[in-house]
Amino acid sequence: MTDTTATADTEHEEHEGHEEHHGDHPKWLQHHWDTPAQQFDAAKIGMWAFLGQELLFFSGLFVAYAVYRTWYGEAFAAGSHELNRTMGTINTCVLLFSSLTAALAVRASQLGKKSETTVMILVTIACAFTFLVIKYFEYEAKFHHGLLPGSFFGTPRDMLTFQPIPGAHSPASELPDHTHAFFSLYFVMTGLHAIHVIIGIGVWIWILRRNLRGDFSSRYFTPVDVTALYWHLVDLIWIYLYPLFYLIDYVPPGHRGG
Amino acid sequence: MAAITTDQKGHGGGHGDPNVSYLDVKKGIMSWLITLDHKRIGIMYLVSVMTFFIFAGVMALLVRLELLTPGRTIMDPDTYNRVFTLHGVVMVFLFIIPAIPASLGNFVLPMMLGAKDVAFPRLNLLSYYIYVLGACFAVFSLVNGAVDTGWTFYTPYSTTTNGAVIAMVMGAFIAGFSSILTGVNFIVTIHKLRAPGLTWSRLPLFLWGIYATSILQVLATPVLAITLLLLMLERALDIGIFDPHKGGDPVLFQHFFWFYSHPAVYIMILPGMAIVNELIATFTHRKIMGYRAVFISSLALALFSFLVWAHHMFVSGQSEYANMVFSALTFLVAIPSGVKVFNWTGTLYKASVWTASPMLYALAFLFQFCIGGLTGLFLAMIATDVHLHDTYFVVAHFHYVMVGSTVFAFFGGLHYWWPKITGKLYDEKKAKIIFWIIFVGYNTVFLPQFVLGSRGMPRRYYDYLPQYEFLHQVSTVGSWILAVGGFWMIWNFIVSLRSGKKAPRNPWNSAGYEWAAPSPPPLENFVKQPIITRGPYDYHLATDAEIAED
Amino acid sequence: MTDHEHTHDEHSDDGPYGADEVHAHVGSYRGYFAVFMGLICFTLLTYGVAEIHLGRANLAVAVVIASLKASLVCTFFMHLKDDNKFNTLILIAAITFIGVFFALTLNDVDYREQLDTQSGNRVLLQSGAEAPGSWVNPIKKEEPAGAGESSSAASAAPAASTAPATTAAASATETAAASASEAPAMSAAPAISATAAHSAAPAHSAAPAHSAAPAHSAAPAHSAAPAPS
Repeated sequence: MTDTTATADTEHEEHEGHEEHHGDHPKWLQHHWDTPAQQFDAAKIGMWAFLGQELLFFSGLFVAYAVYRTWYGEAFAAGSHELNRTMGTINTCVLLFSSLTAALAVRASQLGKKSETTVMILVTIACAFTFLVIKYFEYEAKFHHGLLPGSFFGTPRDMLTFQPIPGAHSPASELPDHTHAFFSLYFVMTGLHAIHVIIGIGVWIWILRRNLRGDFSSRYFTPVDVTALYWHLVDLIWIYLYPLFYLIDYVPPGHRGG
Repeated sequence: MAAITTDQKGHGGGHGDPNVSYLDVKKGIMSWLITLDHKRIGIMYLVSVMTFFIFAGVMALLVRLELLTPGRTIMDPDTYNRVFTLHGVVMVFLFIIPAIPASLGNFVLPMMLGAKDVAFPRLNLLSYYIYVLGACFAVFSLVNGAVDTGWTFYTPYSTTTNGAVIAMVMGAFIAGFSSILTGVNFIVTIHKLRAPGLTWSRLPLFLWGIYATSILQVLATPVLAITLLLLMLERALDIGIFDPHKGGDPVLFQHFFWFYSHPAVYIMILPGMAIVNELIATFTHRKIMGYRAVFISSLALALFSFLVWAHHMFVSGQSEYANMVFSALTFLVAIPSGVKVFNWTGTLYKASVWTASPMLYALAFLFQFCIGGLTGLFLAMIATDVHLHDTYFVVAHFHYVMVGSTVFAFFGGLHYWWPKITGKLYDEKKAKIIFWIIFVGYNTVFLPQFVLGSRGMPRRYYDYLPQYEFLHQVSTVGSWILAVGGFWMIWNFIVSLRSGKKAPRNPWNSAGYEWAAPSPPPLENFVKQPIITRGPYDYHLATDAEIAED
Repeated sequence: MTDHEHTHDEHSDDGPYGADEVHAHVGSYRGYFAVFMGLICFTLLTYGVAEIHLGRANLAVAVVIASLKASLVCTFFMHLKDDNKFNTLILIAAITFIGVFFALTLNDVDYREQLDTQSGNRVLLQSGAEAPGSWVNPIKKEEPAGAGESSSAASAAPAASTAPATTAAASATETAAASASEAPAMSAAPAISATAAHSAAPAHSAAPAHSAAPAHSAAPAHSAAPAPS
């Protein structure tokens, strides 16, 4: 980590709150640490170790995807065509934008700019909600077409009640064998990802609250930083999910059935 | 290590008398349940893991009792399947994986670093409660029909059998997160909380072993998590990922399962090896021969353990090509273990060995680890594995490394650090007798099982042909001897708590850093911040004051 | 990031930590925005490339572009560029082990074979080519009774779009195919037509079985026809 000498940062938007001290430790510096730098570095390493395990967690699903796509390529292509590429692409851009605002939230917090941090966090949360809303509509469409995991494949269902919809037609019968494998993986992977988005929203709300309370400053913004790291991971996973699910061997509608 | 008294930041102010031990600084059950002190958390883990050890040990005694005679002895076949599954699941997930890192590691690691606590004390407490939650799910499963799949939960049986599979699997899933968070905590602690002067090349080998274990805990356990999650989804929602009827692949489950479970066995053995380093160094008053080779081999084991998982799958129907690749890689993973055994033996060569009770466990480790490790090679070679897979040979092999090595090392470490943890001494004479009972009992149980296995006795079998009866009976009698030894050992410790002599600061005259602290230590471990000026095994540099019992 | 600002505590009266820095590098608006635009461009690129038919290369290109996006996020948004190198090491380690997981699992999956227990020959499921590790048993075996054996072989011979039959899964697959007459043959691993196997090279014997394979989803009787050639 490079250690260049500081020049005083005079761009504080507002005066930093005077921190409460415990002995000679500011409130946010835990007692077993000697310096803020030590605590901050430790938090970052710890968070990266946690992210490493998150990557390994999702990796199993990607391996399963690789195996089943190798075996059932045609089914995967057909399944991919059933997904809405526009919504998927918009969702990708929404998450990328939220990653930007998360990074900007960290930046604002590093500079002690409390209200800018608040705005950035709010935008990040808004993007996360947008993502989930779009996902909801996508899932609803799949339910209505009966494009569901495993043994549920083929029966159109209402998403909220899970009851079959009488008289609705599912394209499942026209799709190749094993397309259900695509949808099993689609729901498990995007579902698990969505759970991580929801957890991320919860954590951001907590960080927002702490920020509004004045817990953070240019000397202590660690929680914002590590939350943003988690959020970037959520974005990273989607960066891979998007092409793997939405962009398989796309044949434009007019040219199918050849 | 000269515990120089320069105290840079005036620590200790505002935290009460630094000479009050951590056991006395606060009293009452709540002070334990919401403690942030790594030592108390370590003790809570110790109590929990020993409880599960006893429970799963009793399961094993029941299994061996059933196998005393062919046919039914005390239970019917379905119950038998549930009993051995419980033995496996509880022993693996609730005992052996957390045991050394979370109990002894939690206690000793910050002290060996000269630190006041781990990097994330609240996360440490959370890890403990997550473990307890996982254990609750396992207990819930136990009383709701339990599971008869074996601890490996192979599909498609596990996705179709009745029994409380989801609850049991959820227990293992949750306990896994405890393991992950402990690993994160230890990695960061070793990086950021080393005392002044404690460079990486002076790091005690126990900590190198724990560090390597933590890497595995962090990177391998999540794959178990996703495996079990998929298993639960398969069972609950029938998504078809492991179901051949739906184009799924049951062998894929095995790939996922063993991708974690092979590194898991290294999570089990590395801490055992870590303890043995400390025991051999202290009880020979020598540096461990080849310090660098030993720590590099710990890291190498961690790395290579990720490459060999499918040696558990040689007869599963995976491709022959995969078989060849994994067999070759498995031979590679034996090398770092061999390096360690060589170095320990070299350390003992012409040494003056103090055969105190902890050292007896370390010596037994060396003997038993050689047997366990070498028999692993028979299993690494496909030609022999084809005959030995799923026989008692495998059972004996893994019990030699998990029990004969890891559990013996755990007992050795428990004896070694007991005076530091409790401030009391245990009865050393009885401890030695107990050791011999355990040693004889243990080997009586498992040595015959190699013979049983190589003669064709399959594992997990309730019934067997008459030709195997004699060796099964020998093994069962051994289990009774082992049980006597085990229970007596626990009793010996309880007696020590009640009426043991007060322990000196350094009863083993060790040069290790943790022995600079009082027995038992104060809340923040050391009276003054230690400053390290020598290696942990530098007996020629340690002052008489440091090594003295005090 | 053009603008490097450092966090610095202006309140030197706050005890001994007044001069302490957290050593964090603060990025610039322009820098972050540039990275964001790069990410959007790559996203549009991958969307566009997906419309071009490159066959198998489509997957490779998509993964490469996704990896470039991921690198941008890690290096700049997640500050790996400016951080302690150990954090990057953690990421590299995770990626390496994920790579091992992929490589060795796919190694198995791609080379899954059908085993002819009579002759020891192993052939790859997809292509029928001789599998690594196969061998020719010099001892010729008796021809197994009934065409049921070979039809079970053919019906178990998976084509790309069907259940891959591992020796473990094969029995289950065949149960699904509901060929009751093949039940006795199932306990042996799916056998390639033993008749043609012995004097010819293994690949040869695989050929008739595999040409029957695409028909396997139809009744086993179909695939029985070419097998006993």
